[in-house]
Amino acid sequence: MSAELSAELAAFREQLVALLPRLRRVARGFARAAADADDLVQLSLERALQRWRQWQPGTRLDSWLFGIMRNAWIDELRTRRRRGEVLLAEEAGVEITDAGASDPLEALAIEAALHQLPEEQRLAVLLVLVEGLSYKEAAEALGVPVGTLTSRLARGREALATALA
Amino acid sequence: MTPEYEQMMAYVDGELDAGARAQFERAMATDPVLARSVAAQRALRARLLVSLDRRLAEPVPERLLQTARTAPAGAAPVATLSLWRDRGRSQPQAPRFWALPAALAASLLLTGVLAVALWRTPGGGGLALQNGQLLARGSVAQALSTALVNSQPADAAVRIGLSFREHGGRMCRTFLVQAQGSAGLACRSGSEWVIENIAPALPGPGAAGNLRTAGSEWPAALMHAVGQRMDGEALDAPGEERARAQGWAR
Repeated sequence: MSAELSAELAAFREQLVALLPRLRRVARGFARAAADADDLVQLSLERALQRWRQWQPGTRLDSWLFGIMRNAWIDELRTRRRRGEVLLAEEAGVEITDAGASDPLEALAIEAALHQLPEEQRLAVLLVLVEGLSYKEAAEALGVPVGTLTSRLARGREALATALA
Repeated sequence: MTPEYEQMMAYVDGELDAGARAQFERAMATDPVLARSVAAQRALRARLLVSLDRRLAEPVPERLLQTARTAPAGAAPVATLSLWRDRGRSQPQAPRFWALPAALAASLLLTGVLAVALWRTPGGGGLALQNGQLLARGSVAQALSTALVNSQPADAAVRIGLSFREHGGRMCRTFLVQAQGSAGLACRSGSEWVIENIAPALPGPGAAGNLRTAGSEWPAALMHAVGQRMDGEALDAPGEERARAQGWAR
């Protein structure tokens, strides 16, 4: 590998490190249990590094990674279905999130409301409202047209507002 | 979703251009219901952020830091691979092969079909299953050990595509069993060729002067797997001869 490429790769790795807290947060939107979510982050990192040359510098690395994570999650669900495995119990996620929150009831309420949403609405809400992606970026990460993204976002929002009223 | 709701949402999310934003704000100034919806949406977002931003302060597990800093990174595209990739597809497709042996049990049925197909290659058994690993035997093993890409006969029953070193150090080769329409990737472990991937070969472009194969074609999924494993570049002819002379050792 040329020196230039090595430097590029080192910079890429450091950007991954910086994004880890947000990658973990989004992963919790796919996999509710913290252990599952961290496995998903790990797999996403591995895949991102395998194809790091496909990322276009100047575009958002975070939304590119969220797209990789989504695909990794789809593959993971497929594998588990084949093996007949089940996801960790939902409660595991709630307990862990709750720890350290200054307002545990509020954190629990948000957590519960988010996880009552269908996954597609939850991810639209998380990517746009929490991670701050544009509609276009979020649609690309989730592999859907912008119109689909906005209607999921609208339904997710309404359901959240009702649940948290 | 009504157009009004869509507009309100786009405003709150900062998706409107300057003109539409100004227009929306004028409407909001005279419409208390609209103003209340906007305030409610902003409050909802703020609530989400207050609650979920706490997660960013959680310590990141060491293993994730390690992965980000040290997990193998894909090699730069190599000329040899682009040969395959340029064939009408600019992007390699999502892998549609069966990773072995991890998914062996899961995909036993499909793999079984291919394994049986390989088994019937001329020259005897093509595969053996040992300790959960699929190993090359007979004519497949023979070709993997002895054939050189540039000097193999055009009508060889088992053709070799390319040879390379993988990130872990093992020597690997792609192979194609013409008669059975199966393509695979095998890596040298000790004195065995372990078959890591296997996929149905694609129907080839026919005999219209194609140099590579007459009747079968390398599946993009297999090439994708090769791209992910390859460390550096594919071996050239002298490199291949040297590797063969060393028994394909690491």
